[in-house]
Amino acid sequence: MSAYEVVSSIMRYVFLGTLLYFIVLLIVRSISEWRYLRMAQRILQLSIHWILVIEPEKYRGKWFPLKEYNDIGSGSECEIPLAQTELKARHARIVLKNGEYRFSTKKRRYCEINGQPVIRRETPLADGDIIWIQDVCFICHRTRGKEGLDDA
Amino acid sequence: MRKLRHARCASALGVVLLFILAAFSLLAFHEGSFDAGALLFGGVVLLTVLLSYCLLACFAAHADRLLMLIVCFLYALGMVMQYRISPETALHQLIMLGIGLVGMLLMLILMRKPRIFRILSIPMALLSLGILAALLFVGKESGGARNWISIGGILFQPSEFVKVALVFLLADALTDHTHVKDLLPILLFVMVAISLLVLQRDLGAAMLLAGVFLLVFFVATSNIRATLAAMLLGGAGAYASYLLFDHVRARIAIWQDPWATYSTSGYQIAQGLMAIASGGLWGLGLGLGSPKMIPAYHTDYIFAVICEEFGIVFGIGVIMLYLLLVVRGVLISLNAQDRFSMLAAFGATALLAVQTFVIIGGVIKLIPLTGITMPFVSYGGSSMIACMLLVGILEGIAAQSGTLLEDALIRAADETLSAAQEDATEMECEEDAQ
Repeated sequence: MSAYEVVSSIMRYVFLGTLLYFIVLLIVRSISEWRYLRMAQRILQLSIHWILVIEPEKYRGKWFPLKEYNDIGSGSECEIPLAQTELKARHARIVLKNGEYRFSTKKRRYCEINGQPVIRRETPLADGDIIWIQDVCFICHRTRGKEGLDDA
Repeated sequence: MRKLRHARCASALGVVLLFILAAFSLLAFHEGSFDAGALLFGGVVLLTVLLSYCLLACFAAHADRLLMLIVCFLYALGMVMQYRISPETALHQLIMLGIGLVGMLLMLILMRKPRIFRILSIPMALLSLGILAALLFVGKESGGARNWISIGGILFQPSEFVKVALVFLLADALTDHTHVKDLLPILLFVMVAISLLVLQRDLGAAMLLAGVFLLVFFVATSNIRATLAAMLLGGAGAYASYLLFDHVRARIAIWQDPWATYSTSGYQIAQGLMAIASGGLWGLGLGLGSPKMIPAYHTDYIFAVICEEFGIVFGIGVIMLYLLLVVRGVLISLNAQDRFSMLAAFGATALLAVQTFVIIGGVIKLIPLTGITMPFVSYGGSSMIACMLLVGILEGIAAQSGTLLEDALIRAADETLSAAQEDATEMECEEDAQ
């Protein structure tokens, strides 16, 4: 066996080790990058602080600031009270959970987010999301805009 | 934010450089005497990797550098194998890699305005069909397929560039329309292109086009019925070509039992399988195999040569690299900012994935062998340039979405800051009023 054959036989394990180490590095880096990406998306989602009511006409232009728990309904005790609508007393809820606002409701009929029916138990909200519940429509906003008739 | 696209890539880059250094240092002593040319060639490959990485960083700060490193590892492996087989072909491949890198950068810049490709979709489609039709008359035959064209003495394979055009054509057609009746022009284009490729006996490219079309169509429309119908139509077409063409029948027969025709048409597959088996789990060692025993060892059968010299475990590692490439491509597609970019990124990824599957599947006798190249590794100038163009598409879209995400984050931070300042001012005013 020549010296080259000996060295080459040993080096095949070095090449294999290099490739496997490279693959492990790629997987680890990809996971860490994915986590950064998720974090960035969460920052963008977390940055919604207000909702602006579009429908019905009676409440059009009304701004509501989001707190940790925000009940939406026709009851006066709700954080977002919309009395003269088709909503139940406590119809839906927007909750701050794991750094993002999530929409949840038990009455999913006639309920849409961005034109899609609500399927998940909790749907994360982002800036610009349009939510329809019965006859009520509102938009999630990062900041309170200038438009609007009066303050919440 | 920049960590998003290049979270500590230096160590991964170091691994690629180490691999090149170790492989070419070993090859320098391959022939028994010291070969300075191997070290010089290795140095050039090393510089090419560094250059491609740095150029990407300069031209697109938010491009996907991990994807680039996977591509660098694969083409470095290709260069090592080509140099080990023949330094002359390796030099030719290196030149083509250089052209491919320039093409990748151009594509990266052009992807900043993807609208260009939407405007050019009809000329691209007509040109693609024109070239494929012209090949039937003026094409040169090589490896059983009449799909080569000679320009100034240099042979090109236009079907490689038709594949790149297909990515844009599919993305353009499926951006605005998802109903089958609105997609008739693109369906017609794909069917005509596949028919022309089958007539040229370029079955690999035909299979590739059909596979990519099905994948992109399904992703864009989510229409399982239409996709299944298209698959059935494709299956019927494949069966019809099996009945109509002798070369298709011969390929299937060889695939089913290569040992029956070992001394004639089954020789290539049988030799490839024997090479993989002789390498075993850990391989014979770089430079210790007999690659020239396999026909098309530096093009279609490069994977068998890799398995023979580096081992099956290394071969599985190479497949994993391709898988990671596909995962990163799909992630780029998912994060794309508009539908056209999303579909173009997915199309480019699907093309690389299907091409890898078709050739590796063919070499290991999983599917019938068709003559296409292993992306970035096989010898082939047109293929190398086309693959680098696909990388350019992916990197361009990644850079675009990364920049937009960074802008959105900066805007969100600014707005949150100004909102906090406004609140503080209001509170001060209220306190003053009290």
